[in-house]
Amino acid sequence: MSSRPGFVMEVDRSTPPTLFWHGEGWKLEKLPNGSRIIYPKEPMEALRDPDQAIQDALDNPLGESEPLDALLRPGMKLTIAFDDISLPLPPMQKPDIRQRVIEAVLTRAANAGVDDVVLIAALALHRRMSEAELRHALGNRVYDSFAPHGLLKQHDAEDPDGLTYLGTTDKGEEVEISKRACESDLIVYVNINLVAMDGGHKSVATGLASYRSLRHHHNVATMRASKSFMDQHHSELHSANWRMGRYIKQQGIKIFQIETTLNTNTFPSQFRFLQKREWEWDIRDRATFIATSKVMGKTPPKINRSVFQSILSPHAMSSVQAGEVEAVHERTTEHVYAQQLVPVSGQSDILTLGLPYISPYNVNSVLNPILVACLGLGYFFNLYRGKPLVRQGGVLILSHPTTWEFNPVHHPSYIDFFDQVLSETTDPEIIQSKYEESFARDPWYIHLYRTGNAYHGVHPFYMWYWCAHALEHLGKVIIVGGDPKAVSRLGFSPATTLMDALEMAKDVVGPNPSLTHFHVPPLAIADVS
Amino acid sequence: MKALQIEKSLLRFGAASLIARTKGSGKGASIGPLRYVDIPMPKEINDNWIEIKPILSGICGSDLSMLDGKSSRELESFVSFPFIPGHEVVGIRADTKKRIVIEPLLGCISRGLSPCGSCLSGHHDRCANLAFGDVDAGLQIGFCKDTSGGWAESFFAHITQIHEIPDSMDDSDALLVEPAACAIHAVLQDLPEPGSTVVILGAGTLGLLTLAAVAEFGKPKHIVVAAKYNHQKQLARELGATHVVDSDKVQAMVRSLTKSRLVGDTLSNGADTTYDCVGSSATIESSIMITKPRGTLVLVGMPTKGKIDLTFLWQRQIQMHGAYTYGTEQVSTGDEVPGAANGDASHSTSETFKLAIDMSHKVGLGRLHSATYSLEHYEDALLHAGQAGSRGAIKIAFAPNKNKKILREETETL
Repeated sequence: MSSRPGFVMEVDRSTPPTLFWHGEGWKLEKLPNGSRIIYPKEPMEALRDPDQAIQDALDNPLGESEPLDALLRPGMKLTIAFDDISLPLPPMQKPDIRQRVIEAVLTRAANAGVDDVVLIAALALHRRMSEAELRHALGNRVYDSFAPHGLLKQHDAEDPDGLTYLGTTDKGEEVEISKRACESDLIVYVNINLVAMDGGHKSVATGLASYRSLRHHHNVATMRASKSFMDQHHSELHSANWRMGRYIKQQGIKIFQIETTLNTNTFPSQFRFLQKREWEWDIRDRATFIATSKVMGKTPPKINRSVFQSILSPHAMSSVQAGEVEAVHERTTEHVYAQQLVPVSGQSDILTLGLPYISPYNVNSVLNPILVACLGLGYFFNLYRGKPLVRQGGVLILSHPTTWEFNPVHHPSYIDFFDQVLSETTDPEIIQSKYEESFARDPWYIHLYRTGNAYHGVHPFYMWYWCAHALEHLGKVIIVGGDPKAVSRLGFSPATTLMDALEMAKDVVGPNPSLTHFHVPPLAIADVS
Repeated sequence: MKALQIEKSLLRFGAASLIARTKGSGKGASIGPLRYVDIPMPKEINDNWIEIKPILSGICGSDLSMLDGKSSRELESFVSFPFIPGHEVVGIRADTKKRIVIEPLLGCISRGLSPCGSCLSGHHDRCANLAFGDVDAGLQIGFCKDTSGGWAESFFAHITQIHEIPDSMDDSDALLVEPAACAIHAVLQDLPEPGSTVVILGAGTLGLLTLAAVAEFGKPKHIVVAAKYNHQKQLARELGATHVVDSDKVQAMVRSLTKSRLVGDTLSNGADTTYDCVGSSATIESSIMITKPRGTLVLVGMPTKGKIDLTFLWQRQIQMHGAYTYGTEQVSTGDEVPGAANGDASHSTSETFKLAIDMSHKVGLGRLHSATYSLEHYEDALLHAGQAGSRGAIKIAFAPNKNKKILREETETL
């Protein structure tokens, strides 16, 4: 049975209130008549036998690549790199895709007599994963076979002895990646492609790179020239990664890329109303909505957070492909688009978004105000192909509690960025030129990144740069229901209710504005003509 | 003459202390030891003492601390009762009618004594004879019963305590000269090295003046000021702070600027120099935690009584010292000394007060002067001074020879 496509609905008097995510919770909002609501496509059918599909992909590589078995031989150095805790969202129910793929690769490596195998979590500048998180991603069998022997590593972008400088691309971008990966006869990269931005050359060129290398594309100019990150052919972020990836290949480094896609079956059955259209809610959905809303309203926010962070998604593998990086990624992108693209005609004056509790950088953590900004302006705003959903100079209205709260273990430099940088300016270019170097080179942040579970000192800057395209494009950003002080520190306007926000927006876009609500997650990409 | 006089009354001091602790600084004025009185002018001391008629006379933190019963009773040996407070004074010489500021310290020379070693070298801040000589005990004018003080229509100042000010100098700028001299003295005792990191805790009068002095005489790379109120933050930026933060964000800012690591609550490195311009137990302990090992911690202004954990003062080998009043300073002229090591510059000697007059005039420190009251309305004045921060004010002053209740009130809305 094929899934129903995503679609755009026009609000009229008979339209029921619309669900808005609001952090660890949600709201029902009545949108003005004539507003548009973009609904994602329903989850595509999952692969019936994912393990067999993996075997098939390894045997039938795409592009100029031999099957995996032909690349494995005794005495070789094999490095298996894999996506970290930032994917997928929410974390998936066991077994994780990474476990399935890596077990398949390891079985073949063992059969081929390969005994020098190292696993590397491709963290880039993300925080190190905990043992529990690694066990969840890889399974106990893989973890217990590798971790005790020091063969399960987490990429350290600040280890001077663990990096190799390869040279520069024809655009002068420095390429510096994991030394172990460079010295390997083969890198097998195991990817989860949640959105079209993931994967491809970004896997190795970003996931295993150093700050020296990353700063060439994680910067304001690149982000502003990526319209959008979900459209490889109009994304400078991709172009830079592709240049670096090709340069890595030219240096003789061999990569066997394994990419997987997921369907959008995002929430477990007890929360099924979250991925249903409101007028199709049955009694059980309504009862669940009312009950959970009431319970969440009475329990402390920290308990709500732990409940939400414990959600494991049932999303399932919808495709797997392996082989040469670019050929693989081209096929992967087709699968992502098939699941996520929703045709939309034209832009609107106002775009509304309900922001959930989770982003790539707060799994088992707090969605602090900087991550709220990044989720809204960096990720959801950029869920488009063609043109943004909101016109140039339009207004973005986000719904989120946006509390002044940080996880000091995971986000220590975020705290200082919020206090010391955003208190002075919110201009991405000034922030980049005046403050980035200081945070990036700060030995304390480097220490916490290397030895604790902290994001790199420069990471909050990257979050702000993700917002740069939206900040340049939008006339105003309003957050409904957020802590006014925290929202103001971000440079945005706080509003108590959606109706207040719509009134405030009229000051920018004029009376009778057009409005689009993007009903995500589950994820979708607006294909705006 | 009309004056505000302090009597030695344990009961009144105790009552003021209780009110201050329970209701806030400055609220105990009505039942405290201070009284609005009409008393005869004190008798002339000798020909070296000149009658001064105050134009403006500031309310100092040490005055408030004393009136709130917070200051140490050990200082009572250096005070003679009953006395008239007021030592931050711009006034007029009764004989020449010239505008002057006074340097209120009562050292050997003003006391008619042979100068002690300190006074002989111009360092009367270190004078050994504060309770002897021609006048009764008293650290300064404003604590001595024989001289009267600035919170009166007239008082006496020794000829050596009088500094004429330029005609172009605003009265408000002149009002800030005495506390500015304290700040300059604090800064020049341990002038921060070029390129160093300096922290100033507190952005009341002394904090802001210390900031002005650091900016004027030093060349640190970073000047971090901890301020509580928006008007204080605004003034701190105007006066040269490179970073202005809330007090609970100081440690994070110092950590960032000095690229320190955190071990528990202490920084592996820290500020080169910290000026504590609050003087509470909490700020002194905070200062110790943010000052680098072997760094310098200067207590500017009068600290309050309290318990302090000195463990990290010891472990970090921090040089902590007080900075009291003023005297004579060595100031770099910026000229290199022939044959000296690189960076060594020649120095000139100058009275702190001369430097303070110049700085106050140049920088326009009168901007810190927020409100002026007549003596009769001292209760309102002291309440305003006690609540200066929350009421958008910095320096509150009396105009002892004026009768209107409020003569200046311009920063309430900052």
